[in-house]
Formats: sequence, structure tokens, C-alpha cells
Amino acid sequence: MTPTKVLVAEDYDDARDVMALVLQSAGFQVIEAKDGVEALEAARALKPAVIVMDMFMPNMDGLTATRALRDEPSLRRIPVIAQTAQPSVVSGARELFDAVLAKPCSPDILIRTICDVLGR
Amino acid sequence: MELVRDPLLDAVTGLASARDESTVCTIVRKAARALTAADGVTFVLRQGNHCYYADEDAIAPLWKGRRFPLETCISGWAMLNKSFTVVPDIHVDERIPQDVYRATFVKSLAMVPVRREDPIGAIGAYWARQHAASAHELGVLQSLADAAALALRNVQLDADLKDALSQERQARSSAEEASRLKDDFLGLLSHELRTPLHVINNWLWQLKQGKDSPAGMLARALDVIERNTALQSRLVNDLLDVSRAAAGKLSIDSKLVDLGASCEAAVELAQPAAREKNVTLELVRAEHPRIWGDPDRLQQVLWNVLSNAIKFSAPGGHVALSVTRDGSRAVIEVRDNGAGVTPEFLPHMFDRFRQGEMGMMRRQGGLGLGLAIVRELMTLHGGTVTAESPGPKQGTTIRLEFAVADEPQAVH
Repeated sequence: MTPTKVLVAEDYDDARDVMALVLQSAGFQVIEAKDGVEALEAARALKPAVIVMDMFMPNMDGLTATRALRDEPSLRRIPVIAQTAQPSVVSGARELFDAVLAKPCSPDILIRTICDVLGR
Repeated sequence: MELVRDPLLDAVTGLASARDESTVCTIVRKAARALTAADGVTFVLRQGNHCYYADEDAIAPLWKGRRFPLETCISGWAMLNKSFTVVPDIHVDERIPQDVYRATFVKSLAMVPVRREDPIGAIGAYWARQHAASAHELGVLQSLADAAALALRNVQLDADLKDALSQERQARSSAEEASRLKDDFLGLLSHELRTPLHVINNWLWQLKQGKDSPAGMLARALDVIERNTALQSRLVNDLLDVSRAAAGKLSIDSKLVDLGASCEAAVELAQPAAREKNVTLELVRAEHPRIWGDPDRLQQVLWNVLSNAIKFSAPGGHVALSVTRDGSRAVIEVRDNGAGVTPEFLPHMFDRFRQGEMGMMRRQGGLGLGLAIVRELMTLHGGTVTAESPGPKQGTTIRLEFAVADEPQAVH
């Protein structure tokens, strides 16, 4: 069975690196994006099963990227988990996301949430 | 049937609803002239030691717009003496400045003070013939003057009220602005503290898995954890400095410092951060003025300014530091060709809790306290810090100035 693809969109290198490691340890295949623009491109090209999206990112922030995803017929069904150090920024757009996690977030919770949104 | 209106009552009613000085003037001069059948009427306001002829209604020009010392004219006499006066023939009254009247039609007059107990003005009625104003004419003028006094007080109260309201509104809006800045800052603080904590947490989880960790994983983890712990310490230290400064408890420990050597050390310390971002950092000119300063705090000032310049430079950018002596001043300039600053933000660059508006596209990094701390520390050093920028994307120059320490006298 091919591993499930998770796209991690996160501008902070230290955070993206360790999340990739953590998710690989949990058996996922990880795709990395450094901002909203890269996340959209990677989503189109590689069709991940789920996206873990940071909110504050340069070039295109996570809120804007998620809106763009929801506007694209071929991408709109991909579950998006917001993972942010400032959860108040998504409070006005909660319906865009399948889950919202506050940083710091334990990998156990992230992994369980990914499984939940994938219905496993 | 046609109504018969009382002109005095009409004037009084009009004055009661007047909300500005010019309406009061207009009503008074028109009514005064109509009620006394005078050939001219003036409305005079007291301005300190002068009478100001604010308005007039006359068959030929009188003194509208002119000022005279109180003691040189008859309106001033009425105000100073808190009394009406009648002058049936201006040529035989020594209170009348003849030269001022020569050019006018006036042969006789009556003058009443506005607000009898403490006059703020006067109403004058003038005739082109000799005429002793009657008790009825004087009574009408004085009634009008009393009504005008009330109307002027209303105007003043109205203006005071509007002033107070607008001051109150302004105070409230600046309080709201301050509260919004604090809320934004708290959001940012929470974000900036949680981000490194998230990284540390995830690494600890990863290390605890313990199985099939490739070699070098531990070293990599420790490196990242160390960096993120340092980041958090710096945030906490900045917060402590800012709150100490706000409480007036920030202090420095001064000794003689070679500013050129401080700058060399600071540039060395900031090189890794510059390299990581592919920004060239250069010490372009290093003279060695000596100043009184706290070496650690000076390093903090230089680090904050340099790391700020690097942070707001694009990859490939250039940051140049120079330290020179200019007479009795030691001057450090840090010039970058990075993000620059809008003219609107420039005056707020050194304020606490302020960062250029970047919305959700801002990059990771910092609370916007660095330059506020720089300003506090420069003040403690008796120095100044200023910023210049031609505009967004056109770079920024930060200029630090200190007094050069007196050269020690050679001892023989």
C-alpha cells in the first residue's frame, strides 16, 4: 500500500523540518511547502490526501491559500488542518477548515487529527 | 388681518437661538438701527485692552474692523464705567477723539455696555444731527445689549461644549488606538512564544520515539532546540527590558569604550545571521572614537539594529556599518538596501508594540521591541537614534550618535 500523502505548509524551517520527520515516523509521505503559493502548486501537482496549513506565511498566507483551495473544484475536497500559533486569526473563517490546532501542538494530537479527518 | 410684530421681541427671539458670533452681530446691528431710527449702529467687542468694531450698519462707513485702545474711545468708556452714556453733540464732549470722528457723518451718539456687570462689548447708535437719545431709545438699546450678552454667552458655551466633546472624542480614540496596539502585541507575543515551543515539543516527541533514529539525529535536534530556546530567551529578555524601561528601572554601567572595537565585534557576531539570509554585512569604515558607555548594552544596541537591518533585507541585500568621529560626536550609521519604511511609519519606528503593517504575510520573527529598546538604551547613554528612509523598498539608514568622551590629559 502506498503511504498517505500529507502536505505541510509552514514558512519556519525549523518547524517544517521537524514536522516532516514526525509525520514520516508516523508512516506518512510528506510534501513540504514554504508558503501559500508553494502549497497551492504542490496541491495541484501532487494531490495530497490532507494538508496541514500554517497561517502566517510570506507571499501568501494560509487563510488565503485555503480559500483558493476551496475555490478549485479539483482541490476543494482535500481536508485542511489549520495549525497556528495564533488561533484567533481563523476564528472568523472556521468553516474553511476541517480542524484547527493551536501551536504548540503535540504530534500525537496532530496524527490523531489527520486520521480523524481522513475517516480512519 | 396683518400681524403687528414687536421688533425688539423679534430680535430677542432671534438672539436666543443664535449659535455664532456673526449671527448675534447681524441681529443686533439691524434691530438697534430700526428701533432707534439712528443713522448708524456699531457693535463693539472688548478684546483685552482694546475695543474691536466688529460690525456696523450705517448710512456711511464708520470703523468696522478697526481696533482702538479702551481709554481713547467712547465705547471703551462705556465698558470701563459699566454704564450707558449719551453724547448730544460730539464737538463738546472731551471723551470723543475728534480726529477719529472727523471723517464720519456722526454728530451725536448713545452708547450702552453689553453685559453691564462686567462688559464684554458695547452697542453704539449714531445720528447725523445733534440728538439727545431719549430714555426710550436708551432703554431699547440696553435691552438689546442685555439680550446680546446672553446670546454671546450661549455662543461661548456652545463652542466650549463642542471643544470639550471633540477633546473627549480625541482622548477616547487615542485610548482605543493604544488598546488596539496592546491587543495586537499580545497576539504577536503569544505567536512568537508558541512557535519555538512547538518546534522544541515536536523534537522531544521525535527523540522519544527512540527507534531507527539515523545517526546525527540527536546532534541535529540539539542544534534546533538550542536555537529555539535562545530565540525564546531573547524574546523574554526583550520583554523584561521593555517593562524595566517603562518602570524607569533600566540602567547602564558605564566605562570608557572604543566604539570602533564595539562595532567590529558586533559585525562579527551578526555575520552568521547575515550569511544565513545571503545578505552581505560589511564594516565599511571604522574610526575609533571613545565614549562613556556600557559595553554589553552597546552590543545589544548594535545587535538589535544590525539584526533588524538583516531581517528587513532581501536575499542578496547589503548592510553597511560605519563608525566615525564628527567633532565632539561619535556617529554610527547602519545602512541597508532592504524593505524601507513608509513616511507614515517612520515616526513610529522606535515606539513600543509597533511593527510595520504586514498583516498575515509577515515573516516569522520578533516582537517589534528591538528598536524601542535601542531608543531607551541610547537615551541612557545620552545619545540619540534616528531613522531615514526614502520609502518602501528603498532601504533604511539608522543613525546612532554619542558624545565623544573627553580625551584623558597626559600625566607627567
